[in-house]
Amino acid sequence: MTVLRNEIRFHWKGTLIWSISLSFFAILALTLYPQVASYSGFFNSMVERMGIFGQMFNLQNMDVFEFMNYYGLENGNFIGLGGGMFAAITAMNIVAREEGRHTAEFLFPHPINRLTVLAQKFIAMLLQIVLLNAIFILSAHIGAGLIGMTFPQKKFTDFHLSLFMMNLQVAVLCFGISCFKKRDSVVPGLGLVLAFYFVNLFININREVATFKYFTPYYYTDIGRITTHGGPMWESIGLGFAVSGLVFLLGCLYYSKKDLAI
Amino acid sequence: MEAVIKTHLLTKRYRRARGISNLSIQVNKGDIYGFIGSNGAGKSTTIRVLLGLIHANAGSAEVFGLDVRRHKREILSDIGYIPSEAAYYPGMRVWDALKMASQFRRLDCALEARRVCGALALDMNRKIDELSFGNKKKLAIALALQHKPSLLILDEATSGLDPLVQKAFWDLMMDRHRAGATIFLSSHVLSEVQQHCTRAAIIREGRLVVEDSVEELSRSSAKRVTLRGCEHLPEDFPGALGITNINRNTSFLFRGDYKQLLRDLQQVEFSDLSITEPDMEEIFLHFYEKGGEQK
Repeated sequence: MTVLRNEIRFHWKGTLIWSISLSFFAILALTLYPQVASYSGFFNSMVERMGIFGQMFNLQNMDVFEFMNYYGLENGNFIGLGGGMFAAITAMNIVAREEGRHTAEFLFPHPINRLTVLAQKFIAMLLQIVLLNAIFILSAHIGAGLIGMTFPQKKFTDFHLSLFMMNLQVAVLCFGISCFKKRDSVVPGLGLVLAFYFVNLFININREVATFKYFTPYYYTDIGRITTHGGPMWESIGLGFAVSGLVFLLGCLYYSKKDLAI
Repeated sequence: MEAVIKTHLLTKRYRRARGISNLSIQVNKGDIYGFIGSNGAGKSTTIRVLLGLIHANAGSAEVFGLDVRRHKREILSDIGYIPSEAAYYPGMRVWDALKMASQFRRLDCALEARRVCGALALDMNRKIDELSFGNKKKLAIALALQHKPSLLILDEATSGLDPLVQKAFWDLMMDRHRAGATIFLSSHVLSEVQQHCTRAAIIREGRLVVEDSVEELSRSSAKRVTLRGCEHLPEDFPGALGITNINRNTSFLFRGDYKQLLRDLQQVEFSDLSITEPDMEEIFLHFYEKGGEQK
């Protein structure tokens, strides 16, 4: 577990900073809820007039001032987009960094199997994503407590489970891509996350391109869709993981045999 | 002789750069083996194939009689490696790196690590990020020695070390050698190879030029001929390589029939003659001459 310990030692500060930053915005958004809700009439008419923008964020089909919907819309973006970016950055660097920063020449002349290294790095990455989500969820409860509200348990669990799966899917995909790379760069990972995010917005505007829903994990993290579906959209999650998992497996296989760039 | 390292027609091609081609060398148990070549000759490529960091396109490589691809873990557990430029994880102290390496090997190396760091005057509590190039090299030496491996692979190990530390380094190496370790030394410093190595190979453009005992290399290669009081020697003097003339002293490397040399010298004016063994630098240059014979 030496690689795992090293990864945690190396990343824990960054993970904590990301978690605290995202949590700060979560609490801030929640403490604004009472004021926003008191102007619901005004905001509702605004949403109606938003047209394509309302459609983009899937606002037409739900009461955006219901507490959980408000939380899902506001904080879904923080942990959705922010968490997705965190997962992509972490995963893109965790493997390729060894070659990019020449530490592969320190690590791999030791009697250690490359797949063992990958497994420990994957666990480290998973723990970071779990920690980020856990701190965010805890902060959400603190934020709700501050305004005297509680979350509907099932809907809250379904929503965060979907967000966690999305973070994980992005991480698995980027981890696989990282195995193919010789230099550490977060750009492809961030690009992917933004592409996924905007594809989802595009689907919301134009229902005729709904086939693209299979190309973006943001589709299954939409609070409105989770509510309509009655829980996490496992078929979309499964399909997303099948594709990411394939890239991940190919990446690991490639890494176990590749010439290390030193 | 028991071979510790054995490569047979080992070939590694890169897309853009030259690698190694049909390289066959043998390092025997107890050897201090010098692996000599200019930059880009293929020394580091050979070492990386032996360590399993990269894979050969053709040929075979064995360490301790085991194939480097199939038995990598067993092989690496008994190898100490000093890279030419060591890189470490940021934020670590010297002690952390040593501890991490010993954990990879599932060994308690604390005692030997302290001894080696002491011999090299390396403070184990210092942050690696703050270390100079030379001190990072000392850490690489400690990492290579702390588990007392039976094979040491050294890639330009003494570059960046001051002469005192170089002496301490060679004292440590000779201690390990006396304890039974085999040493594979890739180096540019030919005097180092001549002073410490028992056998050597010269590699050029990825190909082996010659492999033999250092003694035999000195004997079998060209001799240094110096003619004092000689104003001029024809450029095409038979068997002469690299003719120089400084202050009426003409010097050249000679390989060929010495009786014929003496006959040819009768046509030349000089007051004194010496024929000596060339030093390693000259051997290297001799084998690096364009027409140098290749195996």
